[in-house]
Amino acid sequence: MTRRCVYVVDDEEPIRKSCRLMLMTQGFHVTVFESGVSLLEVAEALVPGAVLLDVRMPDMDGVEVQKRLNAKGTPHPVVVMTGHADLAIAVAALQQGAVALIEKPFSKSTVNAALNTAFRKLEDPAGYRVDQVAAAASVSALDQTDKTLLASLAKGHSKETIAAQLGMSTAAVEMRRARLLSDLGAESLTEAVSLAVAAGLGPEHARIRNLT
Amino acid sequence: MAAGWGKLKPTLTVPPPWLGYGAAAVAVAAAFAVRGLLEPVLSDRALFLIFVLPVLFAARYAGSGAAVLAALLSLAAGISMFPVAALATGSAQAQILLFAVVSGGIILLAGRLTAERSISEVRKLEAEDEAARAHQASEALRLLLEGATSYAIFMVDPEGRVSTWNSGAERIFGWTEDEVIARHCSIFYPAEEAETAKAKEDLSSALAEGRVKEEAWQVRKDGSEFLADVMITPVRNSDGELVGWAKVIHDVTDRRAAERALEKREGHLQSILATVPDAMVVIDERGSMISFSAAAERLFGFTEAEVLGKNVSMLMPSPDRERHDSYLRRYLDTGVPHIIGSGRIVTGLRADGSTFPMKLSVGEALGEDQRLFTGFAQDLTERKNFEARVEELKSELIHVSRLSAMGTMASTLAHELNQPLAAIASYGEAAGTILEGEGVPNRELLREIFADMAAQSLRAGAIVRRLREFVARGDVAKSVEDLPALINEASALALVGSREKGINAQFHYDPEATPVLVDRVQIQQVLINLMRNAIEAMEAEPLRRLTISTRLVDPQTVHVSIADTGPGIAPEIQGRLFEAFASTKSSGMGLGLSICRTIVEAHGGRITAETPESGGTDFRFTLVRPVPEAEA
Repeated sequence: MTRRCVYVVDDEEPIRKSCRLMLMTQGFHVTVFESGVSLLEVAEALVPGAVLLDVRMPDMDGVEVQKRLNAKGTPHPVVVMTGHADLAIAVAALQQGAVALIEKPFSKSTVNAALNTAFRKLEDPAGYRVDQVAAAASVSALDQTDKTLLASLAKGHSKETIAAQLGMSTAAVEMRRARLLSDLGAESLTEAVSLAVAAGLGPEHARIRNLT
Repeated sequence: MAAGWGKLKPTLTVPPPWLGYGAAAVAVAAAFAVRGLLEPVLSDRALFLIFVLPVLFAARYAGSGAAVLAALLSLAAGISMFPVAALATGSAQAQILLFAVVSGGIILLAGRLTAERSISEVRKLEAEDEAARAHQASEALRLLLEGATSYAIFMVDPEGRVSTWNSGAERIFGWTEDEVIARHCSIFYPAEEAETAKAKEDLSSALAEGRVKEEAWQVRKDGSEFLADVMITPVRNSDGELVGWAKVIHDVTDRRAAERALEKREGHLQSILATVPDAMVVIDERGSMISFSAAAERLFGFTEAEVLGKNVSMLMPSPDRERHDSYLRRYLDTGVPHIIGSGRIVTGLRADGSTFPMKLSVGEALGEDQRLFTGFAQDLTERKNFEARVEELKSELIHVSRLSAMGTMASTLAHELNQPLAAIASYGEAAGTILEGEGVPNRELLREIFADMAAQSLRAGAIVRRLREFVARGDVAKSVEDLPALINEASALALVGSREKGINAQFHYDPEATPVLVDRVQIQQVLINLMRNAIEAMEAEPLRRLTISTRLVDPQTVHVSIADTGPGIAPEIQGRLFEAFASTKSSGMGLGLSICRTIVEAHGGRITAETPESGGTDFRFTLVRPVPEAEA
């Protein structure tokens, strides 16, 4: 099997360097880009691989980079890296087709899981779709309150706002959220939000909420 | 007669004496001539008869002296007419004697008559004078009565009929004198007052009591009514016989209307004051309360009656309680307002001993002869409970609250911090993977990885420092502030509910330890933080005393101490007390004291925590006192 290619896009040198080292030591073939623009310039010529994309960059943000990649019709699945409090941007990235979302700082296992999803999409698109349907099924199995909760979480609403929306205490929201994550088999909120977006829940659903 | 009688002096016609005597002599000469003509007829018979006439004439018109002269001259003339030989006869002598006796009698009688006539004339003049004076006095009285146009003054006779009428009465009642004289005084009474009955009652009760004075409705000629002060006095002559009643009536409708308008205005003001939500307390220059509104009664739990006349300091806890009089004196002496004209947050004391924060605004009013101060107090308990919670949150999460005001700044900083952390994590993972691999690890690569990790850690630290500086410093706006006022305001917030928790707060201010150069909000943040910490620390203690004191260390340094009687600081935490995230509290992030230190140090001061031998904790910090030019 040929070495899997990973393209790391981040405006900061320490991130590029450390990520490259971490991934290289695991056997990935890593190429780094200091901006979305430099990736886009060569994207069509690159060997199909996973893009590890920082969402917040000075020239062009990650969401915009994704749009351009999609427009070019490149095959590279995208894993989005995000800092804290960037949930709204992250959701937008997911909607642009990002396969996973990881929060900085991240562990080796987190980034590996995300990259695995990316390579499954790249190497076994049918299997990836089955996974997606399963995820969507797990979401659609949720009751209405949990769906609303998940949609609100995907929108980046605070505990307090959600508590007010659902008419329950913040403590109850926290408990419900924890149970929701375990029901979905998600380890983190971003994972759950990824599922929500994959299931088509999220912004659309949130819009309905807003109208009611 | 007295000289003062002036032109009224009686003029008695007394002719000059020489004229009387001359006339007497002439009269005697005339009688002598007439007797000479009758000589041939009468010879020496009835020789003296004719001479009675001059004597009578003189006695009547010229007085006794002239009469005596006339008698003597007549006697001499008569004697000269007797023949010398006849003088020796008894007939002649008898005639001479008789004449003398008759003349003497005439003179006596005439003198008596003259005296009596003089007396009667004087009496007549005196009577005239008396009448003139009486007329003058009555004229003056009449003028007085006429002049008193705002008073109706008139007499009624013993039957109750009007007998006199002044112009004031005409003006007030509308009746002319001609119309009203001889009419019964009941016409002035309203119809419903049983007409004459009330009029008669008034007259008889005036008779019985010597006077009736009342406020009553009176009726004008046109039937309209007016409210009047009525006075009825019986009038008697010198024999004590009733000659009628004097009635004096004054229209008080206007006065009453003015009084009522005033009452209404006062009532209006009272109703406003009663509904104004702010408590209003008015004091005089000595601090005595002279008004206490309904809202003040509710706020302080005293009734107005309980506090009127008492010193307003009873509404304040220490130390203001002891100092209010001196505040007042200072203002009266220097004219420099500290609270007048500007609102300030102070602590109030209720009747039940509990304290509460209030916003106090004081206005000054200069009356005619006294200066009044009006205080409006607004209870901040409700608001302060809320605000105190906010303050608490702010002191715990001050960085968050500052950052939330600049959301982009917050996420930028979070992102910035995550960058080096992400790099460190990745490096660590990479190094771990390298070390797990087979064969000899690439030492050079590992060395580079670790060097980068250290650099990224330092970078993260630098970002945290920048964050804290940003949080603590913000927009520092230092100004010269009165330290006791600053502390009082902070304590009004921090001590909300503390009295209910049994906390006894004491304040000891060094009068020299002020002012200070600070950012008021930030230093109050520190004070509130330390005070709330102290209150929380003492919750389970038997003795709960919070002592806040200030002291001048040197002319440029002020020392502030917040001491509690809590359990003190655990030795294991003492060393890193002011570091971030070193909280002993179950809640809170431990940022409070670290922020306090950052703020105090940003002000050029130092903060320490002591554990006095007597127990508890004593947080001390220093502030900069701007040296006045005079002292510099």
